[in-house]
Amino acid sequence: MNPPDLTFNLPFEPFTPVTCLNYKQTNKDGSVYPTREGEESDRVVFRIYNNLALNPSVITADNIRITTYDGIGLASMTSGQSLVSQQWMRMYEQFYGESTPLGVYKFTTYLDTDTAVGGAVSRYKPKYGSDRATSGIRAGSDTNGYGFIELTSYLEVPYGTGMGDYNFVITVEYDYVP
Amino acid sequence: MTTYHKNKNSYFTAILREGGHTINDMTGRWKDISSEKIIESRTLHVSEKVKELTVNYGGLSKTIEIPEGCGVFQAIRSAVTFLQDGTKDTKVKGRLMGIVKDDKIIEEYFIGNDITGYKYD
Repeated sequence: MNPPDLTFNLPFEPFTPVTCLNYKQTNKDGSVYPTREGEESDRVVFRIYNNLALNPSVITADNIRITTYDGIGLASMTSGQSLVSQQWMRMYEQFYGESTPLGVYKFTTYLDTDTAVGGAVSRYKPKYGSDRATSGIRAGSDTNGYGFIELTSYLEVPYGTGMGDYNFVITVEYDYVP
Repeated sequence: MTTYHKNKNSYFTAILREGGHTINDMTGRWKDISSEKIIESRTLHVSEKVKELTVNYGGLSKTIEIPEGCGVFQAIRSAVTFLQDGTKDTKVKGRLMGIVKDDKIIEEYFIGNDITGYKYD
């Protein structure tokens, strides 16, 4: 058996992999600006799939937890960096489901609690997993459908942030049993 | 014939109650001797058949004896970080193990190189 294969994907066909999430702010006139301090960014929706590629023998990812860390790349979550300061992201589950290669789909809308995330302490645990019964994302390899959860995310930038580009990475922690 | 892979840096060894047989990643799968349960809002693969479980990870080792009437779970903990360039980095952080009784976790251990020091919740 192979470990879970989690990917970030856009929430619509053909579920293209997400390369970078940008959090900006759209004015009433439709113009797009950087997010102002003290305000909220536009909502960014993405999915986390397990084994969208439908490879054989991939394991379910149990007990999903999501958080963010400051900075760019893996150094953002090592002891070489300070504590997480950018606890600006909020997210909530809004959709979950599973598909199969045969085209049988099971999707459900569900609005979970809007939760602030950041660092090891403030992590978001989706209420439902891809099959609703568990808190995991199934992989489609052990007779079930390949699963996903869909998340809405946005930034709540505090006053006093100042101008500039701020970078962070998103980490998904999970358990699995081979 | 099914073949199993044993990672010398990360594996479990379980001694079964019945017959005292030993099973590990080389001779079987944890899923074959456990069943999936939801306990304290977590998905755990609990076995009632094991009387002693040893988990090894990265040179660390922990052995627990499971009292009569209790179940035991173990799993690999991993994390994937999505980077700005569109790539991802997946790391195994360690292994967890614990004892459950009456659908409650009464003991839990994490064996790994993660020193963030946070509780699961």
